[in-house]
Amino acid sequence: MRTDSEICEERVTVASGAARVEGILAYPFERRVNRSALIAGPHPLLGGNVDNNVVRALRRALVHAGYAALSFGYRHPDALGDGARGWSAMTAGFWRDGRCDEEALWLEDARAAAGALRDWTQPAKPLLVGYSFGCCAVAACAATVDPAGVALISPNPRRHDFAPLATCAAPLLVVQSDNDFTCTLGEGAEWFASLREPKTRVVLSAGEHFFRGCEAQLRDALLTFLNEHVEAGHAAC
Amino acid sequence: MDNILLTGGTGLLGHYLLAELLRRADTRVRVLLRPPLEDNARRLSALLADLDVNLAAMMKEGRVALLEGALPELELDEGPLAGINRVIHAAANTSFDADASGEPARTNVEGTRAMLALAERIGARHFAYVSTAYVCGKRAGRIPERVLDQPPDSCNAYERSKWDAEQLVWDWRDATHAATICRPTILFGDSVHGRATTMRGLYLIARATEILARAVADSADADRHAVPLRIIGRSDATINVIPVDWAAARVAEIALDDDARGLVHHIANPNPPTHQEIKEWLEAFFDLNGGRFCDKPWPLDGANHYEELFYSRSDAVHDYFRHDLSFESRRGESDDAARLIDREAFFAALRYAKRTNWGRKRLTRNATRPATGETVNPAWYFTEFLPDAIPRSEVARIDALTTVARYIITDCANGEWVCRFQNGDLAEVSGGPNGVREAFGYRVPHDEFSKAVRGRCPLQDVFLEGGAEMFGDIDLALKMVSIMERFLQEFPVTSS
Repeated sequence: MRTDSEICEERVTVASGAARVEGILAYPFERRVNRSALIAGPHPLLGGNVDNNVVRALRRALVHAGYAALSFGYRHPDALGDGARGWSAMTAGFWRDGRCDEEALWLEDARAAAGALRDWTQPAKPLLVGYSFGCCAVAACAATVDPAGVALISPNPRRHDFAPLATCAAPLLVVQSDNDFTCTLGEGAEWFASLREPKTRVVLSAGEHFFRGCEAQLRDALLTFLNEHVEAGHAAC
Repeated sequence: MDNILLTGGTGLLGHYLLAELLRRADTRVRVLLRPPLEDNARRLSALLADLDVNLAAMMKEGRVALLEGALPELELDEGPLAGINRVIHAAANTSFDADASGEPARTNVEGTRAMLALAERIGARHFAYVSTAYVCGKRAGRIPERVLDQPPDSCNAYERSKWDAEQLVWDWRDATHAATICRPTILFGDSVHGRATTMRGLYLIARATEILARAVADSADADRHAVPLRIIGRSDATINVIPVDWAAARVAEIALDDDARGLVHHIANPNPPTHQEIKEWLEAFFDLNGGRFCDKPWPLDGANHYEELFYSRSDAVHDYFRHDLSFESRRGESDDAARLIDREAFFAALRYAKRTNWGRKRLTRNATRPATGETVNPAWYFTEFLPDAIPRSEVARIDALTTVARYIITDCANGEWVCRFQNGDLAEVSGGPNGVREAFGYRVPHDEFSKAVRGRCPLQDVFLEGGAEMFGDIDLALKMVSIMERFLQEFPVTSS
């Protein structure tokens, strides 16, 4: 599937345990790539999918920057396997607590996608990019994949676990809007201060949590981070 | 073929009863309507249409004929009554209080006397009378299925008039004339949509609770989950409430059953809800808590503002939970039968009541269908489509879903709606900028709203592409978008 003159997007399927995860592998149409990125999107119970505006914008930006980028949709809430609760019970728990037990399976999906990306593209180290719930998904991957860099867009440190990042030495980017309902600027700054180096924080004065119409600013923040902190690593490889 | 003369055909029970009689292939029904015949015929036609009965077609087939006659005068041409073998007398005046014109005794007692005389004149040998289980008045305990010889201590003029009428019916019997008395308990919304065309009885309590809920919502310092309301009565007694369509089916069955002749039949709920259940359901529906039963008479000592408000609705509210009755029922189902009125049925009836503004506004099928072309009428969507579809959707199974959402559909009239969800039920829908305070809301242009509810554009895309805004608690609003997406996959608006 060719989406514009420079990008090719393939629908791909990844085995994640007994489940199958759908994704889009995008890469430059007429260029050989030796860099790859995994993009993990928002929570599946909040409509997170590969067509999300942020996921789509980052995928294209990365391909234009010479990456093969895999974005994936978490296994469907109706396809969680035998023994899983139904959608309504899962949604009830999520409505009440803001989290649900099934999230562990979605983190598995992220790890499976990272593994598949490594098999397909074979570059030394992938870039991990997460948005919203996807931030904790890529954090989970950081423990098993040695990434070239980690970019977290609108992370929610109150709700999600980022402990695996502590043992990851890759350059870290945190992008936050100055009006994000999931995390105030103060909370974001305090949490960022607790993270290990090397790290970069970018605050965008637009976009709220969703970056509607502000995708270009987000793209610029990511590309700047890649140029200043990740490319050197790739060059060394 | 049963040739039946029916009175009360436009009443709450009566039109369900007529529909039930017409569903049986072997019946022809003459319906006595009050003058002016043309107006009441139109009304009956609309009521039956709601029950999927086409009156005009039935009349054309000769299954139904309409006659004009007012009770108790009953000056009518008796020619069309030739061949009537059964009379089902369901007409009644249901006013609790006596008035200067002599009602309700005039209609209920004198009207019954006139109908009995008519039955005799036209040679009808069987007379089925629709009475009430509450002819027993203030008696307590188990009420037998027989005519009570002594006048009971009635709670109101209506109950007394029905007892008097029963005496007339019982005295009418002789070797060639059989009488049957059907005594329904408290009629409530039907078992399909919670539909009712008249809202008395338990509806008065529900209405009083709604007024209380509004007062609490309007008070800055009131805690809606700790309302100091003493409810006069016992928590463990039951309220014998029955769906009106179920009651109509039982009346039809009894009235046409020769083995049921000469008997009194309670049409009662074999497994009725307790007072405590009704209290809990009302509290859940109106998002209140705090009521507690007390064994004290009205007026309550030191009644507070909320108690005055609650009990001021009607004298009937004072004693509503004081009764402790059960009803003998030789034809009734066993006690372990499925519940006729459970929480879901109760909520459906209250939703219907609210949609009709407690019976003041008549809802007809398709009356407010989506407007022209592709645009969907928000008033129809929020007051008819959602209350009908949500109980059947997966949303109803999200037991934790208790919240209030506001929807502002811009660029159209009547575009602002508030939906209150209680444990997955759509407990309340109210229109306009006032009403319950929302936890979150959405502002959506009319065309985007129409596309979304028709399932043509995911809600999330409408929002992410800038077509809609969220306000209030964005976390909840976002979760609700996902829930609504699921609902729209199940129940898109499919036709214009």
